[in-house]
Formats: sequence, structure tokens, C-alpha cells
Amino acid sequence: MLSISGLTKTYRGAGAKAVDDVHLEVRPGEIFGFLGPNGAGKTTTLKAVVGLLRPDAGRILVDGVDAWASPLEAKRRIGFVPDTPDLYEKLTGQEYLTFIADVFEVPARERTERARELLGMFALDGAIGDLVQSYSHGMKQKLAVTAALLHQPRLLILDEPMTGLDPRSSHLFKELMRRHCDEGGSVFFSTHILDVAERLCDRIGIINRGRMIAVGTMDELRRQAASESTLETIFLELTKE
Amino acid sequence: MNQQSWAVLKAMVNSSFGVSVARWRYLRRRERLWEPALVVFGIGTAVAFFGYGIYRLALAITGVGLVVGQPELGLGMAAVISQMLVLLMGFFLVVSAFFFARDLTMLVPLPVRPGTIITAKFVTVLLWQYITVAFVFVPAVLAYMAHVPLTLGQVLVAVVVFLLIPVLPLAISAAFALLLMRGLSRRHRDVMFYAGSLIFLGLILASQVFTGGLPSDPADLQRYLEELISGRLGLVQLMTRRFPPALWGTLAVHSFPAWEGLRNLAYTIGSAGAAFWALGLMGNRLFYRGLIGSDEAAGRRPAMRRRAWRAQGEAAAGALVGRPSTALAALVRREWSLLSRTPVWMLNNVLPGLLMPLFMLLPFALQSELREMVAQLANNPELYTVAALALAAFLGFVSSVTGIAPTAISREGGRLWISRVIPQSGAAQLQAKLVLSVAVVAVTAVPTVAAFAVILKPPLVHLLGGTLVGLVSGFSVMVIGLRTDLSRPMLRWQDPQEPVKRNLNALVPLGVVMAYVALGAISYTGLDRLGAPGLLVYALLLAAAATVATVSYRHLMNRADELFGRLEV
Repeated sequence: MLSISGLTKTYRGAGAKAVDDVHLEVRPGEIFGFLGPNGAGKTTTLKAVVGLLRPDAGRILVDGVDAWASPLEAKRRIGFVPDTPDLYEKLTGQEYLTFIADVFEVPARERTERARELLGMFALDGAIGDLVQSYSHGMKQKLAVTAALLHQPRLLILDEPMTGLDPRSSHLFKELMRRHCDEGGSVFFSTHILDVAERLCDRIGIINRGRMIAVGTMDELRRQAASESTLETIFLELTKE
Repeated sequence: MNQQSWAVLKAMVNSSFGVSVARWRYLRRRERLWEPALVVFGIGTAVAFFGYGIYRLALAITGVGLVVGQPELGLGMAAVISQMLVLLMGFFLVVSAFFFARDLTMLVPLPVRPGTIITAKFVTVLLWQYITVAFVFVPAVLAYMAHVPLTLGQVLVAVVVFLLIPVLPLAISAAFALLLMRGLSRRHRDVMFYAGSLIFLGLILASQVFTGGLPSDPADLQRYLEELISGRLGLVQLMTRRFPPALWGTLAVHSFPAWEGLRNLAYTIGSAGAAFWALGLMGNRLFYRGLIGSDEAAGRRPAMRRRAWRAQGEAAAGALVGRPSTALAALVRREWSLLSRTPVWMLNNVLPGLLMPLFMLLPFALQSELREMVAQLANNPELYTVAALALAAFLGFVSSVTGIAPTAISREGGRLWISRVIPQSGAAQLQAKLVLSVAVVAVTAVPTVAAFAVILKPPLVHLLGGTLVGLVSGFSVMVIGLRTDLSRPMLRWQDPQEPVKRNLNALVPLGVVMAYVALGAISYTGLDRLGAPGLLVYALLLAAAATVATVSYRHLMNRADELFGRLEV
């Protein structure tokens, strides 16, 4: 579903590479958790995949489509939720969803059904006529997720999706991710919550200082770390200075 | 000023003028050093171009005043114009700074009095106003000095007057803003803000009309004019009676160190001091009520609306998301919604374009003498070409001050990620931005062209010539502005004022219009000397504007995806 090979990116004015020759693959029907300390290169990798950052080198294939050679085709296959839900504050929730549905060319019936289902699930349907600026952080996050799923993307990319969500929403969200994968989609998400990653992800990748240092299932990671302990212990062991 | 007030003021000025950013970027990191050079060049050019023009005008007016024994005429006019400009433009700036700035969420929780915040914000806006005042008042003082030698004391008084001249009008604007925002709920704040702004502008215009008219009876008019010319300071008093503080400043400079000068200097200093004091007092009493009280209302009303939505909406679930439309329509609708619902953007990008024709046309609508004068001029067919070129220049100028295009990318700021992840090409997104810009300019062009047609009644060829040259050159101005913003957008901003007010890209269209005006003037005089038909100038300018518009638009569309793809968030 997602194939990243040789991804390299250096920010202007920065000496070190933010991401250095990263290779990873997210398979169909898989939840892939992307872990790493602050500044390790998680967000840079995610942004390069969704087209927000131009990589210096490397290739990104989304469902077989080159994300930088055919960006529009690739974008149609992606639903993205950034780390901070910076949405159009001066639009109502409904206007924002309509805008997203229009630019993704979602047919009338489909958009209505999807919106009803997702907004109902997040209990956001009552506030959909209000301006986004009146939403709480969690509501904005839920609206961003709804918008990302409105066009039924093959690949869902989420940057720290649990931040700011209450326990119920967080639970719903995890169920949603699982369901998305059960229906044939894939989820590629970054997180700092190691418990969630351990329980939810089919495979996990750990990045440190711009380089991938471990990829695999929990069992594979344990074998790599030669330890039978939790993901937290493995993570701390692999990323220690 | 205590330490706390000084700290607030310092932080605000630092942030507003980008002092820390400049120090960090140009001195510490030594990056983009061409930027300050460009700014100095731009300001230098503007000062040389506009400043010299205004100086020549002030010199001529002072010369006329000297003939009738009133050399301070130019000075008085400059004082009035400066204060009227501050009164009009300052209102929008203080409202933006007082109520729509994002730093309020950081400032309000601080243990400082609201009056301290208001005063610091007021001083910050005031500092920006000195740029406007300098362009009008300083050339007038220099022109006055060219005719009347000034003593050192008078020069110092002129400096004091320059510093104080914008204080009172800005304080009046600020007081009105505080009262207006106190009465607005957050729910309808945007709409009511526009309504309040129009009332404010209406009041100023009405005061102009009611105090500015001349006696209608010919005998009275004759006597009135004789008194004005023979009476000492008669013309100056006529000019300044709309706003007496301008007279105080003028007389302070003109009559210093005589008693009259000292008295008027005291009025000037006293009125400015009183304005500061009153503003601090009003700030303490009204500022937080206008700001915080409305927040409380916002907490209740959405809940009411949520219930209303739930009640009517559950049955009609289709309302959760709107009906489909084309991607281009969705993009244009997004642009308009965001623009129209962000007051500082409307004020800076749309209102100037809408108000400029109004200000230009109002004197014609209200003063029959002016209409008659224009009708007399219209009898001379040679002037049609000049008038049509002026119409074209005006339309082009309106296109340049309507800063929708040259700030279109910058305004997206941190939300640019949305534009980048949607499956719409850069070209399509830029087209949507241009459509909105063209639509707004078209709306402003209609009354201007209609008024031109009604007042001057020119032959169709002149009407069409001026309109087409204006609109086509205006389009090219917008395209070039958008292209500039695409190359170097200001995306990292906290306060929505920044991408429209501190964005140098917005000045580029003005430069393009100036180039068109220069080309028009050269073409007209050149063809006139050659004895060529006057209509040829339209063809020449239209060809030039159409070429620039086509080339720049094609260039923009050809490179849109590449340049859009380079934008990093």
C-alpha cells in the first residue's frame, strides 16, 4: 500500500539530515505504527508521503502510484490528519466537509452516508453547523478525521492522532482504524503512546536521528532487541544515547 | 510610565515591527540580507517619488497662500489631510489590534491593567501612522520653510506637532472602536463590525458634507470668498474647521514664539495628553467587557444552536454535508468564505477597493458646483482621452490596492497543508484565487465606470478604451501579485494581520501600476507630439497590457504545479 525507499530530506539551513535513507513498507490491511523520539524524523517522513515536503532523494509509492510523479493520483488515495488540527476556523464544520467532499469529488449519496456515520460516531453531528473556531481541540481532531475518511481513502496517514482525544473518542478512533484495515485499507500513524502502538499495530517502525533502526511485528522487535520485555523497554533500549 | 507598561509596550513594538525577527535573521544568522536592502530601496523610491510629488504640490499651494497673505495654507491643508487619513485608516487598524489580534490570548491573562494593554497597542498603531503622516506633513513643512524662513524654535515645534498630530484622531477612532466592540456579541461580531465601520465612515463623510459646503446664494458666495481671501488665516480656517486640532498645529508652527503660537502649542500638547488619559480610562472600563464578555456569550449560543441543529437536522441528515459542486466552485467558495469572515482581511484586501470609488464619487454626487465644473471640462473633447486614461489608471490602482491576489498564498498560513493534500492541481487552486480577486475588482469597477459615463458622458470609444485598458492592466497586476506571493509567501504567522499588513508582496502590484501609468503618460505625450490620433494610445496600452497579462498568466499556469509543490509547511 505504501512503499518508501531511500527517503532523504535536509531542511534548509540545518546541518543534519532530518530523514536519512529511510526504507519502509506498509502492507494492505495493516496498521503500521511509526515511533521515535522528538525530532527523530517521524513528521518529516509523514509530510513527505502526503506531499507537504519535497524529499531530496528517494521514492514514495502510494498504492503503486508515485507520490511525486503523479501527486494528484496519490493524494486521492490518501486521507491525512496532521499532528495539530489546524483547520479553517472561519468555516463551519459542514462547510469544511462539503469543501473536502467537493475537491475529492465524492458523490452526493456517498458523502452523506459517510458524514452521517462518522459524525454520529464522534457525536459531532450536533455541532456541525458551528464555526470550527468554536470547537475544542478534540472536536477539531474528530472533524479532521471525518474529513480524512470522507472519500474512503486506501491509505490513512495520521500524525499523533490520539493527542487531545478523550478516552471514549480515543477508543472509537482505534476501532475505526482497525475497521479501516479490515475493509482493505491501511493505516500509517506516528505516536508516542507506546501502549497503544503495542496493542493496536500489526507492525512497528522505529526511527531515530532520521534513520530507521527497527521494523517488524512485536515479536520481531523483541528478537531484534534480544529481549522479552514491553515495547517501552525495547524502545528505550534502541533509542538510548 | 512604569516598568510593567514599558515591558508590555516594548514587547508589542518589538513584535509588531519584527525587530527581534530582523535581529535574529539579518544579524545573527545573516540570512536573506537582500531583504533589508530591498526594503530600503523600496522606501527610498517611494519617498523620492511620492514625497517629491507632494512637496511640489505643497510648494504650489504655499505659493498661492503667500499671494493672499496666508503662507500657512499648505501646512494647514497637510495637517487636515494627515488627521483625516489617520481618523479613517486608524479605525480599522485599532480594531484589528484591539480585538482581532492573536496576542490577546497571551496578554489578557497577564497581571496588567487593560488600560496598559490598550495604551501599548495604541502606541504601536500610532507608530505605524507616522509613516502616513510623514508622507503628507513633512513635505508641507519643507515647502513652508522654502517660502518662510523658520527659527530653530519653530522647527522644534514642527517636530512636536508632527509627533502629536495623529494622536487625537487615532484616539477618536480608538474610542469609537472600544464603544462599538463593547456593544457587539461574538456571534454576529463580523457582520456587526462591518455595519459599525460603515456607520463610522458615514459619520465622517456626513461631517465633511455638512461642514464643507459653500453658500449656495451667488451674492453670499462672493462675500464669503472675499472674506476668506482678505481675512487673516481665512483659507486655513476654512480648511481646518472640519477638524480644529489641525488649526492648532498649524498656528503653533506658524506663530511660535508669539502668544498665539504658544497657546496653540499648548492646545496641541494638551489635547494629545487628554486623549491618552481618556483612552487609558476607557480601556480600563470597556476593553475587557468588549473582549471577554463576548466570549462568555459564545459559550452559550453555540449550545443553543446545537440543539436547534439536532432538532431540525437529524431527520434531514443530508444537511450534515452540502450538495456536490465542481472543485473550482468549492475552491472559490472557500477563498471567499475565509476572506469575508476574517475582518482584518476584508478591511485590508476588499474594503479599500470598494471604498475608493465611493470616496472619489461622493464629492460629485453631493456638490453640484463640481458636477458643473466637470460638465464644462467635458465640452472639450481633447480631455476625453486624458479622462479615460485617468479612469484606466484608477481601475488599475484599485486592482493593486485590492490585495487579494498578492496575499492569497500567505493568507493560508499554517492551513496550507489542506491545499497541499487535496487532489487539486496548483493551477486549479491559483485559478480559484484569481477568480475571486477578479470578481471583487469587477464589483468595484461597475460603479466607477458607470459614474464616469454619467458624469462625463464621453463617446463610447473613450469609455470602452479607458475601461478595457484599466481592467486588462488590472488583471495583469493581479497575476503578477499572485506570482510574487507564490514565490515568497509569508506562511508563518500567528496574527491574521501579518500576511496582509506586513507582507511586502502586496506592494509589488502598486509598482506595476506605476509602470503602467508612466507608460500611459509617455505614450500619450509622445503620440500627441507626433500628431497621431489620440485613440491610438488606447490601442497601444491595451496591446501592452494584454501582452503582459497573457504572458504572466501563461507563465503562472505553466509553473503553478511546480511552484505550488515547492511550498513547504
